[in-house]
Amino acid sequence: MIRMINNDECPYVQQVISMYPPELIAILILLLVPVCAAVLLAVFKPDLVRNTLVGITSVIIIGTSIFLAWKALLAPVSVTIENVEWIGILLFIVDLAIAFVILGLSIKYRKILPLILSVIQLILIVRLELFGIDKHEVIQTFMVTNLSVVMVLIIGIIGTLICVYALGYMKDYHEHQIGVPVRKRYFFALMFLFLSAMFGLVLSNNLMWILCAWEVTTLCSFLLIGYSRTPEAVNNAFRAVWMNLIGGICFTLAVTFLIRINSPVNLLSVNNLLNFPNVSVLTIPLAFIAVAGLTKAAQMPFSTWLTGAMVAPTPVSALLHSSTMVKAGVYLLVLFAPLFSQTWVGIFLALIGAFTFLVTSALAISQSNAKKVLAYSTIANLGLITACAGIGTAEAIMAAILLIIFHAVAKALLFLCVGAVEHKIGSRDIEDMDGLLVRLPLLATMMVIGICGMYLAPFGMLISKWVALEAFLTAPLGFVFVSILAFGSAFTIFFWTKWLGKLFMRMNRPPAEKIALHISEKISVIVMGVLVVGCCLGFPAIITGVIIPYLNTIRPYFYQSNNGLFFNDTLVMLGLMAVILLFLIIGAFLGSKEGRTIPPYLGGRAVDAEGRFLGSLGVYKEAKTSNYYLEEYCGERALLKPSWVISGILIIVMLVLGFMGVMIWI
Amino acid sequence: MDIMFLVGAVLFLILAPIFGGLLTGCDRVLTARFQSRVGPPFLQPFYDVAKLWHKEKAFSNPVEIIFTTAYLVLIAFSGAMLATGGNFLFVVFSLTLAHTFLILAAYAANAPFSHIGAERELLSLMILEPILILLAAGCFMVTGSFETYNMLILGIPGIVFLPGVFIAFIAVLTLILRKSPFDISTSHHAHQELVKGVTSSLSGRSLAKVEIAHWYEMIIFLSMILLFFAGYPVISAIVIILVFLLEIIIDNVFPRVTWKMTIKSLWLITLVLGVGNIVILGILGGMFL
Repeated sequence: MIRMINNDECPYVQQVISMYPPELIAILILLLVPVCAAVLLAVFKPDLVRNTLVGITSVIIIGTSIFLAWKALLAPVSVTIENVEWIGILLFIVDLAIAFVILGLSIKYRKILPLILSVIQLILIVRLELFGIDKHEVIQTFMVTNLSVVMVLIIGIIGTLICVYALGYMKDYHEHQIGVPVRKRYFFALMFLFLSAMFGLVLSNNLMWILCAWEVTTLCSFLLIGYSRTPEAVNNAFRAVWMNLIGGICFTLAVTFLIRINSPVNLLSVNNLLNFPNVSVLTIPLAFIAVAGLTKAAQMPFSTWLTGAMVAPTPVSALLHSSTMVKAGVYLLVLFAPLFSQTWVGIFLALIGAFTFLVTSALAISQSNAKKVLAYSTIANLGLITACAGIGTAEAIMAAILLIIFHAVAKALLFLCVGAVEHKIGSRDIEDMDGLLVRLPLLATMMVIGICGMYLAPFGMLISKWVALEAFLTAPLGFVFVSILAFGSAFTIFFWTKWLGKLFMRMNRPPAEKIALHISEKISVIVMGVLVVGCCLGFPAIITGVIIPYLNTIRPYFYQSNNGLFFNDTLVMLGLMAVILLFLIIGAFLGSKEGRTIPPYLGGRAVDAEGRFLGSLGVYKEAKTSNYYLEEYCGERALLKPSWVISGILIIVMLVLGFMGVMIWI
Repeated sequence: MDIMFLVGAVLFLILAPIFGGLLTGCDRVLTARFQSRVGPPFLQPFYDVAKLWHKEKAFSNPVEIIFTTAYLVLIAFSGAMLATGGNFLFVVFSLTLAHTFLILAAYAANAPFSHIGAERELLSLMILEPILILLAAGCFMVTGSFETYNMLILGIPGIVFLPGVFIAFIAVLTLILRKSPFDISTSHHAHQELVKGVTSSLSGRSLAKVEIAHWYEMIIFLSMILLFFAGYPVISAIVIILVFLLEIIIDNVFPRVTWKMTIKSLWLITLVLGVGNIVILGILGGMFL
């Protein structure tokens, strides 16, 4: 019933092994264990059972993902299961169930737009299942490419760490949010279901299965965003769902158009699609897939669902932003990047991404809410990934994958820190984070690591930006992207540095009492911090061991043998810089700090030991200054509407170009 | 070849602060003459630093020691990279990191003057970044790599390809040499709104380190002009001197430019001349390069 490809020795033993090759078992564990855990978590109420369950499941998932990644890095894994019709039917039922849940909730809360969209989606899927697919032929069921390996590791390690973190977080959450009904069973079940759907999305080779997983992630994010059931949460949840339903509809349309294409091979297989020689007939499905990716990755006209999603408990934000949901969007785009690279659809996709990067980086300047800054920075980075995917050359794909990795680790770390800090200092406003390094040394240190990882040399994100720059410069219309990147990264520097500065500030008021972190939060935060540092140090290994082999397997259309990229001198210089920084850090800890600590200069006023100045009524007061937010230029009011219009036009042009089938000629 | 690079780096590390200090002294004398003052002695910057170095060690937040050290070390490092014909993009990122440390040092004091100084220094960093990246992109489009070395051995000087980028770069230089506007810079004018802004909470050795770093920085940015005039050392020297004098004149002619005006005008120049230049180069690039 089940057979493994590329296995042709020792027939008897092989028959047993090939019934259930370890790779298949690993894949099945990744797909099914989170689902089982979700069911159990939904059933059992006691905290102890939940903690144990989450712990055990996390260990299993992390172990299995590492095992699968190791196997797949040694040799590409592709598993074919025959007689998969019943799975198809099962997934169809899942699709229907999702649609009915969304329909039901839309009726309950009287939301018209989600209602209409889910009806459309329902009709499209039913039509597709009943009349569309009849030429069934065996296709590979699971493909584990190096891109999937990256995603599996991100979902498996970061995703589960976030779930572990949530154990401690949710305790505090319900102590802080009085009035929100405690529904931890529901919460944790959904979190694990989400992970399972993500695994399905990155491991399947069948577009119908990917579509189903896609819809599951939409549903899970919808339910998780609405967790607290406050009016704001409900509104934002519905906004997320209608935007993602547009994505789902576009995905379904893409599949519908793919089926219509007359081809000797089954185009529902991602594998066949990527190797399809005549890309010019694929432009319509590609354009729809691009829109689907844009919605899920919260690119510009659809960005508000992700910024609205921060009403959810922080672990949900962390999960949405770093390892699931938005990464599903960019995964799909990066997956089809080699096809995008040959079409004008790709160029416009890249333009939308680059535009989003520019605008949301500016928007991030105007925010003082830490979670919102993170949200905008996520969208900006996804924009950069989208731009790389749209360009789709070898260097661009390399940049995109690096960005995915570094963004996932650094952003997850930052969200976890912000969540924990919020519970300790009672605010998520960056203005209240002054002197955090003194107040909460561990969390603040981790936050510093995360922020540095997001934008400073010689850390991860900057390296990816560097590769992206090189990729843009060698791509068609590259000068446009380079110019956008130049200004966008200036914004990036602005909003990150002012946050970083706040953390290092001297405290001009007595510190509050210390509050201990939950052990689960501590473990996740520390492991995540180590992961960020590890990725930053190990990026050459990631490039040579994971990304280059992937590029060699997909052979993008214009494969330009890069002149060593930065493998020679640059690596040495980056290393040198890292060493300098290391010495500085050591110096900071060991160096002499002899000298007098005196109050700061406050324009010549009398200042007391705590840095407060003598006010005119003879009372000592704290001198407060706040960061710049440039509301006038970068505020949501100034930027959002114009950018919706511009990005909307870009999407329409992209679809038109898709229907016209315009190709880039070389 | 490697030995030569090493020699270049060492020479830069030793000579740059000397030249930088001399230029600063020259600047202060000239500026004073512009304002009908006599001004300090020519070697005053060196006296200042020597005196600062022996001052009492006092700070409002001890982390500033490491931050100012990091600023100095990284500025010197990026200068050495540039002097050895290294990767320009790398120099840019390294400079950014260095400036970030200076800004963090200003933040650390948590005092109004230094905080606003830090914010405005951050703004000037934000103004500087695009044109440097555009310059890097321009180098790449002309030579096919980010190595400044390739820019220096070009047959045709870079200014032919990058005139817009050059003008935008010179415009931004006003800001980076801490000349104008008066409410961002930490120049030696007495009328400074923020009491020297970013350095207002620094004293003693920390301040001395910032001063030395500033000398390095001046040489780094002035020597970037060389990229545009490869193979013509005499012209380069003349241009550098002219630019330096021009900056002093601009500083004294527009003493009341505010930061908002600066951002708008400099980004407009960067956008029109810098981006315009890159776009035209990109379009024509396929034809003659």
